[in-house]
Amino acid sequence: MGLAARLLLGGVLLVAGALKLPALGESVNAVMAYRLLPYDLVPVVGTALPFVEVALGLLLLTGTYTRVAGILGGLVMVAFIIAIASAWARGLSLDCGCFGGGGEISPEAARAAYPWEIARDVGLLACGVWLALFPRTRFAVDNLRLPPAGSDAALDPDTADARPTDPLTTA
Amino acid sequence: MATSTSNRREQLRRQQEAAERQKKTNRIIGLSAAAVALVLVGVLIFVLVQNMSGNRVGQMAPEGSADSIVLNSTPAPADAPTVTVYLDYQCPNCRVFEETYGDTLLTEANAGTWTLENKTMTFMDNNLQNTASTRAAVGAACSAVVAPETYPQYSMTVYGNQEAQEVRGSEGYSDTLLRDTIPAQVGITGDALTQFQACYDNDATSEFVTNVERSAYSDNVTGTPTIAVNGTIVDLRQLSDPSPEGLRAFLLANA
Repeated sequence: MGLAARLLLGGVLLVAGALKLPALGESVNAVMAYRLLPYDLVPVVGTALPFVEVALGLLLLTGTYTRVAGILGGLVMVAFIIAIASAWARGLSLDCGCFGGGGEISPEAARAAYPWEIARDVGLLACGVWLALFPRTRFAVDNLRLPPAGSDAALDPDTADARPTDPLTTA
Repeated sequence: MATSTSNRREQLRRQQEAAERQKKTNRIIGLSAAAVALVLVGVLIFVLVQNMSGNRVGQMAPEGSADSIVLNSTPAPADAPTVTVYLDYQCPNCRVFEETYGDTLLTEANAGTWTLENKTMTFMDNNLQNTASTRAAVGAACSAVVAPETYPQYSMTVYGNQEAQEVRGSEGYSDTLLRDTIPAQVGITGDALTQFQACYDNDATSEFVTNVERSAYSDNVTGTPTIAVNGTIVDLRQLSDPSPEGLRAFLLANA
């Protein structure tokens, strides 16, 4: 479950970011189309977002600093959900620009897409929340970085010795 | 007893080794993450700095409005409505719109039916990854500063040179076209031409162009061409009669 959440959230973030990197201008326009941020922040956010997505995607796929990456990935999803919901509520007809592109599309297409986009981001947010609560997953760099979690420790005497709770004094 | 002591020593040694190994692993992971982060942040800063416009000296702006260019040759009556056209010189639909309605919009403006103003946006630069929208906007604003009577024709001539295909990464309008060819075509000569070219070369209207873009953003304009009457965006899809006369009636009905 944890591994699946990591690969899903990380994979989507990495792909979304990587698709935007070759066309940063489009990413700026996509952010601009939401009409949410102050004008001067738009180019900064539009340019930075793909980099942040790629960075979080890499961390999650490799399972490095999983808890922090999960929390940040979840926060990014919260921002996306708010942005899409607000565009929907204000009657804007936007391509969400989630995987590149962006800007204005026909009202029908936009209204049809909004619920799915929000549902997808809620699902990804759930992955982020899960990883924040249970950051230890299989096949993760974190497993090299941190002492093994829970009962695994008892099965591995070599590293079990390294645990600070080891009752040295009982001998 | 001796066994117990050596066991403890052994245990302690293994513990220290393990801790040492752990520290090493953590350092490698931390350093790799930091290296990747550094590269990403570096590229990001590079891109942001590149996008920042440099020189802001000797800025000029057309008279009459801080965030639009008024096309009326003489001011319209005070009670006349204001028609605002949001455009981008690289937007194909804007060219079609101007070629269809530009003459009528201008004729009516000069007859005092309305105040006609252009708000020239530059977002197509982001789509096409070039700077042609901005350079054309700067050039057009320079014509409005130096020789206001030539601005409407300068603007239309820019459209006339629009590429048939939008090609990402293409140059778009060349500097020669905007700086030399079009001014000659619309009759900017002599001192005015010198002033115009100095204006263009120094990007002297770039701050004005940014102001226009900023105001279009706060006017909630999400695409071009967009038309507003007295500051309210009109829905061009409700234009039932697409002739120039039909647009005139439609705009006045929305006033």
